[in-house]
Amino acid sequence: MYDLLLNQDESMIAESVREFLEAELPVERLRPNAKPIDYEAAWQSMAGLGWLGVGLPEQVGGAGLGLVEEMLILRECGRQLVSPKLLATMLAGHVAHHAGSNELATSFATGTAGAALAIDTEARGTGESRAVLTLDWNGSDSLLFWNEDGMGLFDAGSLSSAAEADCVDGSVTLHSASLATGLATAWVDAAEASLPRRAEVLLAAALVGLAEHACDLAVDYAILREQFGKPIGSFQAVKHRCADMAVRQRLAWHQTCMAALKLEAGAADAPLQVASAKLLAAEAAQENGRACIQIHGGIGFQAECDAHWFIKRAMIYDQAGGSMQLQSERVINQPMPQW
Amino acid sequence: MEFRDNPQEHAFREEVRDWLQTNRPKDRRPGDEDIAAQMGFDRAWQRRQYDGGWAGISWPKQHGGRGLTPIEQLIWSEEYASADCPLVHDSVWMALNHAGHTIIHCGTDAQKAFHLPRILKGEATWCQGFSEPNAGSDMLALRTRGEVDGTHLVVNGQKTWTTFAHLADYCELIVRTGEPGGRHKGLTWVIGDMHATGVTVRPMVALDGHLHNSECFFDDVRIPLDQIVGEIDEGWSVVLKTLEFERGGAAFSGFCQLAVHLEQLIAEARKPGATGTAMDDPVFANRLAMARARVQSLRALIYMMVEAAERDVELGAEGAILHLPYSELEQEIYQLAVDIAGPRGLVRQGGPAIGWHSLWLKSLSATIAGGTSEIQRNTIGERLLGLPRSR
Repeated sequence: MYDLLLNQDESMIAESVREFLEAELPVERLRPNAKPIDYEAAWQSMAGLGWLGVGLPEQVGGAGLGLVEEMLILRECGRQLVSPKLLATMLAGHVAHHAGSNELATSFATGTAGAALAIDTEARGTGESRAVLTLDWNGSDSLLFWNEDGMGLFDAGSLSSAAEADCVDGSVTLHSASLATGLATAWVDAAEASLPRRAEVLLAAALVGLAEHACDLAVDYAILREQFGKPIGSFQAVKHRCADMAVRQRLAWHQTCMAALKLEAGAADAPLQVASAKLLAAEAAQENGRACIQIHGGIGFQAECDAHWFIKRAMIYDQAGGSMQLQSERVINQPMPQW
Repeated sequence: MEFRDNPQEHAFREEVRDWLQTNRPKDRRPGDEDIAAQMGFDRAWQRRQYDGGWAGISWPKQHGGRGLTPIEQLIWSEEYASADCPLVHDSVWMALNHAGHTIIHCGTDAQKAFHLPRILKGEATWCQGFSEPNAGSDMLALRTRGEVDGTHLVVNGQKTWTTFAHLADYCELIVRTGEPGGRHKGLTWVIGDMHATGVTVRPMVALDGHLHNSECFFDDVRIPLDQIVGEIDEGWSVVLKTLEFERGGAAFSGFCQLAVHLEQLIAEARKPGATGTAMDDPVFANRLAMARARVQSLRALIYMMVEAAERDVELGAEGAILHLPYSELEQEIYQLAVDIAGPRGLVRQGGPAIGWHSLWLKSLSATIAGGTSEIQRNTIGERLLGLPRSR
């Protein structure tokens, strides 16, 4: 039986992560005139709290917990639009650990080394040289790249013609580059460890966090904002949109939990569960992101309002690790699941 | 949050599977065109489950049920659907999952002794007398009167859209015994004998051409006071008990059936026809994929709910979200089945296997019965999200 209810320890982890991020990296930091944030200090704090190595064994500086705890952290990171570097560094630790580089794994787990996501721009391609987009890559971080064969780490030497590009999500720096996939500094075959699936579960968790925060902001505004002498949330046209947001994010969350447990248990239908989670979480984040702007009305279109960040980040996480289109193909191509 | 590989659950699943394989009806269940024959079939199947010790799986043992845990009930529902057993929402369903549960929790000893065995054996069928012509979504506007006259309650009024009323022996009758317009105050939940003098049932032809619902007229119907479930004027708390069961394990069995039907549809869509397979069409493939992913997610939601029931965790409004996405998905899946059939889908057919058409037409009621999607969205908005009331 798959128990999908959070236990007390899990709730406490989620709560402490949420409190930390609400205090240190709230989404309000992205407003045009917000006071500057010391991102380096925040990174060190998160590393100090053990988030980066939460799913790694203790001998490599980890907390010895698992995918569930990683997922709980990523959900909160999604809520506050924390840099995708956190997800990449978490996964980089697993790559290093599976590849036998305990020293490298420790440096990721403790935050002395970082990694950035490299998104394959040709999801169905197979060539050795891949056109990628890197997210928040600072030139010295490792790059994390995966495809159906496995997941690997790369350094700057494997990149060519890197150029900064203007990202649709202004809170993320983007580089377009060409990655030589044969030059990995560490590589783990998918047959050895299902790290690509793990990455997709974590992306799904981050997408759920986006969907949830978008819903929260919309609901708060619908209670606060009055028109025609009443809070707009008392109108069914607005209320029903909010209800749909709530249902979408909950189903996506429960599915993500199911995917995480099935993946860890090595269940035969884990690939179907993971693809379903990524698909529904991307849908929830995008739909809720749009609805959040809509419910805010005119102010929702303005940069000073936080409503616009969620749909943008949702688009990035949808493309990372295979978009909704690719996930839906995976869902339908999997064999019939057993109970 | 964890995976518990419990050998007892595996053993239980095997036991259920074996029993269903041996005992499930091998004859086709009569269709909605012959609803009397269908009810005979349903009653016989219920009797068989009773004799095998599988009637009332969620009922406590002291009331003759199987007393299964929430997890075991879910396993039963999963295996029941996989074994291609008869549709779960049959004429016995209301008695088992609605009336039976209400009587167990709120009924008198005499009511329990008389009704519970009859329900378990499939000997008595029930209908739900809640809705009235002017009390649909606004159920608390109901006006059917109950006046105490000596040892009897005298009932006058009209119920409508009453499912299986023309076949039912008893009715979960909600009447107003208190002040008119009293909303949830002054309601009484009483067991109505549908064969009593003064009860007139007029079956209505539904949009699929069959008889599912009826109008029921009550003219000076005399019901002994000992047929009241709970206290007089305090029927609302009993109604809440009745509706509570509708959302629990009883809803899961319908979902499991839908999940199996979708997999049958996917298998059909992969079969080559004259112009390739339906799955070659990217639009159909995408709709099937979305439906499949949504089925998985509803299953995950149900697992969460089952675990909460197992651990006695009160979910509150959180437990109210299942009905909306489930009923909308049911409609989408059966609509998809008819769409995939193409122009041939215009020809209505019973179909030897499932009969997609009848499931599709029936699914049009899924977003109305048990609370319309609009009411569901109000409930989620107000109770779960804390938005201001619309009314």
